[in-house]
Parts: sequence; C-alpha cells; structure tokens
Amino acid sequence: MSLTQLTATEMAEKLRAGETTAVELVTAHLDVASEAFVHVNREDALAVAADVDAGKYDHPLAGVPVVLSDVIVTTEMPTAAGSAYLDGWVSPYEATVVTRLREAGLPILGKTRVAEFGMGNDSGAHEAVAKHQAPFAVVSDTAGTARHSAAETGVVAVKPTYGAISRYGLVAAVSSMDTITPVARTTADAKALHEILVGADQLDPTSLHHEWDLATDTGVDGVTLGITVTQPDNVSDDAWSAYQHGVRALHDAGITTMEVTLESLDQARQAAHIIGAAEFSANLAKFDGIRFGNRVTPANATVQDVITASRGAGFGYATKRRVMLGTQMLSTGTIESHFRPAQRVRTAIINDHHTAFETVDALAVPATTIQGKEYESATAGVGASLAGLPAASVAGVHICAPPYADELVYRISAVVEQTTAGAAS
Amino acid sequence: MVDNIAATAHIALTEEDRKKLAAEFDPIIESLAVTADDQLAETVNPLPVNNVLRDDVVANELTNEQALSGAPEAQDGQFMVPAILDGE
Repeated sequence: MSLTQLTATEMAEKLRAGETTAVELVTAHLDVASEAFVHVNREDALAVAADVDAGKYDHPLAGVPVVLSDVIVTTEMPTAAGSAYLDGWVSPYEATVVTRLREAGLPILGKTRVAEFGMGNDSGAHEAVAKHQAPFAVVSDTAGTARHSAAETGVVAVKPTYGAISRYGLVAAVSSMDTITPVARTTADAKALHEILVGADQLDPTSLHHEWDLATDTGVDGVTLGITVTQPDNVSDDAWSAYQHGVRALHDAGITTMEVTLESLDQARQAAHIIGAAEFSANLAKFDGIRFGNRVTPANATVQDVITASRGAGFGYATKRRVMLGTQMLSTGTIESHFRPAQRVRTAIINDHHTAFETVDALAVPATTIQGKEYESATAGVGASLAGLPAASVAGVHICAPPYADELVYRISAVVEQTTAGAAS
Repeated sequence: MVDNIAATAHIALTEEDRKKLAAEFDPIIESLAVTADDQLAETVNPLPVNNVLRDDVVANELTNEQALSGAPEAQDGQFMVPAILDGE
C-alpha cells in the first residue's frame, strides 16, 4: 500500500512503530503534488521531516504532513489569497495555526489554491486531500463553503465553534463568520488536526477561553437529532439519498430522530450575503496599494488615484462586486432597509437554533445544496456560520450542534462516515 | 449609481466591469431583501464577546523593516506615496 493511501492517524502509527519515516511520508506526498498547490514547500517540509526522524519532536502527529489553504499567512512562503492584488506577497508575521503546526512538528507541504479571498467553493486543499496529495488540510470556512466543498469532493470538513481556533493570520473576509477549519479524509484525522489547532490565543480578540476536550468517544447512543424529512427544493435526488443513508446509519447506532424545521433559515441566504458583503468591504479597505500588495500608479496620480487603480487592477470581478455590494449595504438608506434587518434575521436564526437545542442535541440536514448564481444560492451550512455553531460535512450529511459541543459533532460524524465509503478512498 | 459606489469603495472599474455591474447590481440588492422582527436585537457577533485584557507590555511587534517589507515603495523607513503637496 502506498504511504499516501494511509490516513493521518495510520501514518502516525507507522512512524511510531518505525515502519516508515517522516522524510518518506513527505516525499511520497510531494511526488504527487498537483495544480491543487500554488506553492510547494519542499525544502522546508523535508527539513522538518528530517528533524522529526532525528527525534526532535514528541507530538503524536509529528512527521505527518499537512497543507494550508493560501488564505493563511506564512513567513517563509508567499500568501496570495487567490488575488492578483497580493500576488508575491510574503507576510511579515505568521498565523497562529501555522505556529502550532510547526511546534508540533507537522511538515507543511505547501499552500493550496483558493477562490479569491476564500470567497467561493473552489479549493485546492479539498482537492489535494481527496486525491491523497496530503492527508489533511487547514482551510477557512466563511458561509459554509469549506463544508460544501467537502461534500462535493467526498472529504470531511469540521468547522469549530466560532472562536475556538485562532483566526490570527487568516486573511480576513467576513470576520463574524470566518473560521479556521480542518479538512481530512476521515473524522478521526480532522479531529486530530483540530486538537493541534484549538485553544485560546492572545493575538485573536475573538478567541474563546475554554477548556476543550475532544477526546471522549462514547458513541451516539441516546443522542437526539433533529432531521429534515421532506426533500428540499435545492437538494438533488442523489444528495437526498446520501443524506437518508446517513440518517439511517445514525438510527442504527442508537440515535433518536425527530423532524425539526427552522423557519428563520428561509432568510439565511440573504442575511449571510448582506452581512458577508458588508464585513468583506470593511476588511478589504486595508488593501490600499500603499502598505503591501501590488501598486498601480497612473500618470500624475494622487494618493487616491493610486488606491483606486491598485484595487481595480488587483481585485477580480467577484471581489469588486462584493466590496461594492458591501459598501452599498453600509450606505444611508440600504443600511436601514437591508443591513440592520439582516442582523436581526441573524438573531432570529441564533434564537431558533437555541430553541431547537432545548429538544434535540444536534441537527442534521443534507450537506449538498444546488449552487446556482452566487447571490441566489446558499450552502447547507450557512445557518451554522451565522450562529457560530460547530458543524461537520461528512458523507452527504451536514451536522451542527450548540456552541462548544464540537466533540458531539465529531462523534456523530464518525458514525455517519462508517456507513459509506464516506471519505474519499 | 455603479460609478458612485465604485468611487466610494475606491475601486477602478473596467468598461466590462461597469457593464456587468450595471446589469447585476440592483437586481442582487433587490433579491437580498429581508423582513425581520423589529423587536429583535441586532447580532454583530455570533457568540457573546467579552473584553479580554492583557498586561500592558509591548509584545508581538513588527520591526520597521518588517512593516515595510511588503510595501510596493518605501524610502527612509517610511511608506512612499505620490507627493501630496507641490514639490514635496
């Protein structure tokens, strides 16, 4: 069996048993790296692997390679966030998640392709994991995109409770929804990566101070799950079938189900696009062509001309449109007609979830929704993003649970994946 | 309308951008209309955020060189911009 066919957990076991080396693991993956990568970190990854093989790290996952979505800043590799504006930029500081991976001795294979500023479903990280070019990846999830892409590519993505994993060094898109998210081929691997990344960080003011315990593994017997019993219009027959398969498996494992419908989610798409565009426009104000990134200087330009030309040349169309929509949403008139009502819809969505969680322990819906034009579409997981909930996309099932119940999400996810080929294999 | 918003957002548009936005912009905003209970509070952040204080000591600072490392143009330890005053 090729080393790349192993799960991360199996790789770690073989390393500890002396049946392989970290250098062999890194080399096996680098040999198959594809266009999913925008930067291959060969020398550094091999150097870290050699240090692992020399016994310089004691973390159980030391030596197991990982990839980073190119929205996570690194000091030894460029970060472009999928944007021409940042092409070639190297951050002067490092994301906290990168520091934690380095301290644990996980060789970083490289950075992977991403939609501009992470706003879209295109993800080289998912591709790399699905195609066994890395056992797992660290990505960002804003309005459910990482979970949607996981469903599309047959891998597992588990978004933590908002604030559980530091966002310091994540190129900010929508700050109230952005979440660092592990992606893997199995639930156990996603959890193992999550455990390295999770925990309070002084550098992220929204970081939660909480004692996380993801270690329990007591199964799901006695858990109550809210489910969807009628196929939604935006769910294909195949996606519905996969979902029902997962729900049956959960039944078999001892879960009790009941129908739960959250009416406020009918407006989740609109609320997420409005709030998302508004925060995005504010976050991208720092891209001014002055302090970092690529500058365009028209003839006889003023400072304002430089800023406007640099942003115009550096941003793609979808980014320009989103920044302009966000600017509009925060303007007189529209702020009252759209933005503030969207924030109240968000409150209703949070309240509806909390009410549901008085009756059920978690909610499960089909993980794949049909994606049409961007602003007419929403992912299955957009509600969990708006409400800051822990959530997983696994084998066609989207699971979410109350804040801080990340461990329950992993337990349910582990049962769902047993029922299918589940993870890409 | 599109040009006004682009100016506010400090984004230069190509002719093609302008044509597409002229067709798309208003319909998108109309499609995002929501109705909400006025009695509900507005959510800014999904979880309660508490002020977290730390000791008032300098930490995690960038050097001048690091801060300028990504600047398209820099001079004398400062970001370079076009002259704001004549001859300056």
